Amino acid sequence: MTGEMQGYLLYALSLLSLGGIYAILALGLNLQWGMAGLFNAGIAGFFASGAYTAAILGTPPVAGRLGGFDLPMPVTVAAAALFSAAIGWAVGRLCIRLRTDYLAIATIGIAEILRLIVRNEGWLTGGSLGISGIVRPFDGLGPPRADIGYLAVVLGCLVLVYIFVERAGRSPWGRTMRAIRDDERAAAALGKDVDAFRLQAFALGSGIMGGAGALTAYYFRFLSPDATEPLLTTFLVWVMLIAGGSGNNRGAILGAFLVWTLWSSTELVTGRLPADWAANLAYLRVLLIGLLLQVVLQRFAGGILPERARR
Amino acid sequence: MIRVDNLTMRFGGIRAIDDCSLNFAAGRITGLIGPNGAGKSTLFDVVAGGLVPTAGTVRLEGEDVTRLPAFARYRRGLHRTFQIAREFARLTVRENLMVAARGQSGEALAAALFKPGHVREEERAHRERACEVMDFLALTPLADAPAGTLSGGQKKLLELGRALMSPARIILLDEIGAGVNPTLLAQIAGHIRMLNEEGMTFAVIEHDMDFIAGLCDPVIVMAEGRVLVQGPMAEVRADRAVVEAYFGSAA
Repeated sequence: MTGEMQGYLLYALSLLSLGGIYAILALGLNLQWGMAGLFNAGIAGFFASGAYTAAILGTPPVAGRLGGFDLPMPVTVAAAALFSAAIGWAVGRLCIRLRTDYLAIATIGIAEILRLIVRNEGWLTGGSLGISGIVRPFDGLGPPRADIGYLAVVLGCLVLVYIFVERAGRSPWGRTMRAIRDDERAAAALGKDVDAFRLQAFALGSGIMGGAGALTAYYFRFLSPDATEPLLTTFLVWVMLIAGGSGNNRGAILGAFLVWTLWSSTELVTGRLPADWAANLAYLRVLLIGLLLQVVLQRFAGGILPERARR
Repeated sequence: MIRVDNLTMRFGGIRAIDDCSLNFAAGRITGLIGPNGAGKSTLFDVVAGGLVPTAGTVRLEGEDVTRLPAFARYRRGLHRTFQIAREFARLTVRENLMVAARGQSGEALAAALFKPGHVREEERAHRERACEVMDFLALTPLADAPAGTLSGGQKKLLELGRALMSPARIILLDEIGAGVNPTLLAQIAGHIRMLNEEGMTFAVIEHDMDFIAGLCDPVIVMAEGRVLVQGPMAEVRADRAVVEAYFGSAA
């Protein structure tokens, strides 16, 4: 294989791996917003808490920082999902009764608190130095096999999450959740414990986001406080879900791959420009994504794959 | 069955219900009539748990449920329909009915994922019941339509349909006749009577006096948040206070 060919292959593998991780995030948000109508504007917080959980549990000991448990990846990813779900549950206990817009504000607040903890609590998170030395399961194989192996891990996780949210969504549990989303007073009048159902959806969605965070930490083999920046998680994942089709799991996956492809391919362009131009064009990418959302929603009001009626 | 004592519901300066006491007796079909703004639907809201009253108590079969949330009252056998239909807009008509069924172990996520056989059995029964209800209410052609696309009258039928999905002890019907054609309304009245003979208790708000006269005994007339008169329809009709409440006291 020529060097150039391998370069393209690695690029494609990277695109698909990160696209797959975003697809998992979008499925988590779809569980919260698409099914339960819960407006989570703090995706970055749940994502980062999962990423740091996995990084702290999965790396060898380092002086001056908690961690060094060196646990295997399946354990750390599961722990990350559990920890983020627990945070989601705790946040939900406090905020789940709030109306949509207030819940959004509360979740932004939680994500900011988590961001500040990550930046400042060096004994726990490594502060601005971050956490390095995270080893992927197939790293021994060397590129590109290691990357193919990791892509398989990500896609395997995506399939598992997809099967879970689809089966849950088709069950009476999912039907009741969608009923609550459409009219909570009517659902309560039909004996549904609205708060309890919402809390479940919020915690489960947060757990899925935490799992995606863990996969990201392994993907980059390194974790810095940048993981808590809302632009790359909260903002992009919302665009992915809305453009792909809120309420439809396949739409969420499609939107994730589509938007991520667009986002990362513009990086190819901005990466080749002179430095002072590139700095400005970074903002242009955000504008471009906004424009894409406009175009999609003008043509497809419910996203590219809208929610379907179930028979 | 249901007793409210000294109930008051205030919204700002307005007393929608004003020191009202009444009783929906077990095994009866109680009619609730009165001019617009008399407090009838607000009373249903308080009884069903949609609103916590400013003062007074609500009892369901002797138990004080004044502060019990709506979903818990439903689980004690109370079902209410809404005056302005509250359909689940993005669910199909069939799903709207099935979601109302009592006895859904698949609402627990663990059971839904790990006991698929048991849940499937239940779902089959609920689906069959939904088909019967749709047949009765002439909604079968709309079974797979999102409920948000229904007409106003069809949405009212769906409200009623959810009440018919599973046996309840007491059903509060809030103007289910509005926008429903007279032939079907007569059939609905017949069905209510049949369920009542099987032991189900009803309270019915309706503006159609013939519907009330043919179905309800006793009839309670409300005005300005209080009980004005109650008794059999013939007596209520003859009452001077009732005539004045509806038409004013010009005479």
